[in-house]
Amino acid sequence: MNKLLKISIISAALISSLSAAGKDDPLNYKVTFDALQMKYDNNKDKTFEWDMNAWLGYDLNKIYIYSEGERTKNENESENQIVWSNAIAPYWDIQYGLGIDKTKENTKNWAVLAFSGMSSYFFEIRTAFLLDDNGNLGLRASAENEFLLTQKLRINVNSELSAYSKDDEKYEIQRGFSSLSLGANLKYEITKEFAPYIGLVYDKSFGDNTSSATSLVLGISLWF
Amino acid sequence: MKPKKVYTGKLSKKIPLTSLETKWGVQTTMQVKNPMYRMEDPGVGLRNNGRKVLTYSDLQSFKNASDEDNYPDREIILHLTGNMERYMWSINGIKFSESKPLEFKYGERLRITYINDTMMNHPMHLHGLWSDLETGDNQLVRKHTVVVQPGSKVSIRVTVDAKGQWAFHCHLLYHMLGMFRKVIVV
Repeated sequence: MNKLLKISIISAALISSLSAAGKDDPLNYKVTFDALQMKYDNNKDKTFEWDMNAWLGYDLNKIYIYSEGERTKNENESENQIVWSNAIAPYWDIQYGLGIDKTKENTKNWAVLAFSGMSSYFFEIRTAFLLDDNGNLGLRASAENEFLLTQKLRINVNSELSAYSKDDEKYEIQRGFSSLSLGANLKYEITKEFAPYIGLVYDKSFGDNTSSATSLVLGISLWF
Repeated sequence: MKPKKVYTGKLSKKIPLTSLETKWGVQTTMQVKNPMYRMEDPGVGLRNNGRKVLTYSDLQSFKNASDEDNYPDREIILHLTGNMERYMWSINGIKFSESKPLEFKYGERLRITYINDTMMNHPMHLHGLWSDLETGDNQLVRKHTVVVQPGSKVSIRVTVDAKGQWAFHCHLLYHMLGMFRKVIVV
C-alpha cells in the first residue's frame, strides 16, 4: 500500500511536471548552416560562401529566414528571405514573405511564394517564385540529398537553379535560365550538429556572359 | 520447436466495434494498409542475429483464456499516429490537448486493438486497469505496458474494474505529450 502510494505520488508529480514543462507544441527554433565554405576556382581565386536558414515557431506554423551569399575581395552579394511558413501536407509547407537581394551597392526587394518540403527518397526541395516591382518573375529552386556511406561519413549532393522573365544586370540576373549549380560533398559528421566537408561544385551562368567553372570547396555544416 | 502460425486476431463470435473520432492530415505521415499481428517478431535490429530473442509469443499464462475472456463486450481501435518529420505524436490523429477523454463503462470487458501507423515502437501504458495481452494461442498475459511494433497490430483485453480517471499513454517521454488520452471509467 505504501509502495502504491509512493508510485502514485511519483507518477502524479511526473505528469504535473510534464504539463508544467509546457504543451505538446512548444515554441521551438533551429538554426542550420548547410554551408559555410571557402571556394577555390581554377584561377585560385577565393570566395567565401554561406547558405543558412533559421526557423522559429510551432509544429505547423513557423517563421523562416533564408540567407545565402558570397564574399570576395571586391564583391559582396547575398539573397535573403523572411517568410511565413504553413504546413499544407505532412511533408510540405507553403511559404510567403519578403525576399531581399543585396550587392555591395544595391538592395532589391521581391515578393516571395515558395513550397518547401521533402519528396520521396528524402530529397529536400524548395521552389520559390519571386516577383519584383518591375514585374520580373523569378524562380529559384534547390534540391538536396544525403547518402550514408557509414553512420558518420556521407555524400551530400545539391543543386540550385534560377530563372527569370527579365534581365537585371545589377544583380547578374539573366532572362530565361540564369544560373545553375551542382555540387557533391564528402561530409564527416563529428557530431550530429557539426560536420566538415570537402567537395566539388560546378557553377554555370547562362546568357550573354555565359560562363562555367568547377571549383573545390572546403567547409563546415552545422546546426543548433 | 513449435510451428509458427500466423495470428489473425479473429474472434469466433463477432463483437461490436465502437468507432472513435479519427483525423488524418498534416499531423500524420502514414497509415498502415494491412497491419498484422507480429507476436513472434523480435523487432527491427533483433531479427536473425543468431541469438534466441524472446518475443510476446513466448509468454505463457497459467491458464487458457476463459469463454468470458474470449468474448469481450465491445472493441475500440486506437491508431498510434504521428509525423516524425515535424515531431508530432497523437492517437487517432488527435493529440492529447485536442482530444476528448475515452469513456469506459464500469464492469465491462473491453478489447482494445492498437494499430501502429508510425515507424517507431510505442509502449502503451494504461493506468489503473490491467492490459491482458492476446499472445496468439488462446492465452491472455497480464501486463502493465504493451509494446506495439511499427506497422503492426496488437490487441489487449481490459476488465474495467476501477472507477475514476486514468492516464493512458505511450511510455516514451517525448511521445507522451501528444500520444496521451484521459480515460474516464463511469
